[in-house]
Amino acid sequence: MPANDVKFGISRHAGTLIDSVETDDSVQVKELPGSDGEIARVKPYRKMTEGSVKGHGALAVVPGVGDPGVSGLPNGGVTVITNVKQSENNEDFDGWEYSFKHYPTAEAVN
Amino acid sequence: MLDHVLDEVLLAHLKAAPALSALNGYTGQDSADHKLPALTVSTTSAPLAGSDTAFRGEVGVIIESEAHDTTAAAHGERVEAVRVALADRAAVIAAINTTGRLHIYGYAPLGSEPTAGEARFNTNLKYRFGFGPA
Repeated sequence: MPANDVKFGISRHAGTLIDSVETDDSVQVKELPGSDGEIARVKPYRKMTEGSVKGHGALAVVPGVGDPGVSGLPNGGVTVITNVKQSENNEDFDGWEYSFKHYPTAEAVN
Repeated sequence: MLDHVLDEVLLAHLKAAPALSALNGYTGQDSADHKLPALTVSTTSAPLAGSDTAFRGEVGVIIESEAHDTTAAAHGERVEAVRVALADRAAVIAAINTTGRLHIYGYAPLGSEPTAGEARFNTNLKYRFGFGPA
């Protein structure tokens, strides 16, 4: 019986020569121990999504505040393209890779 | 299947070289026994990023000579003729692309595998091609 909750291939980026799309949602946690040593209070904060895209062909992404072209990120906030790596190889197609961070509650400062 | 097209087009290009024109030409799709001396082009490929527009191909250009009536030097000259025919990459790419049958993005030599047995000399020149539909 086929599974109906899996996907195959790239669905979160519209490019035609995309090798991979990765995202990592994270949150930091502040913990306050109680008198008995157990954690009594917790505060999640600093939500963030980090991600990367690898592919080939024309690339319009540049470092800075911008659109990573990845769907499914939290609404609002600011996305920063943190680095863009482009490569050529004697025996292969050229390629590129970029990483980004999405801050869902932040706003960009010029 | 683009692998077959690349085999055919590249074989035709190589056979146009005077030093190779007399060899019996085969592609990787030919199942017949090779009549020596033989020149065979055989491609295996994988798509780039799961696409159907760009492919990486491993191309073997195999030169086979009958060892009883061919000297090692004569076989070596045939191998060298293949190297020379594929040395000017820009010209080769332009010539193949003008056929309109497929598009070559680039290629590079990967190495060679020469073997010599009692009956034949066999040299496999390996290339990696980037190619796609015309």
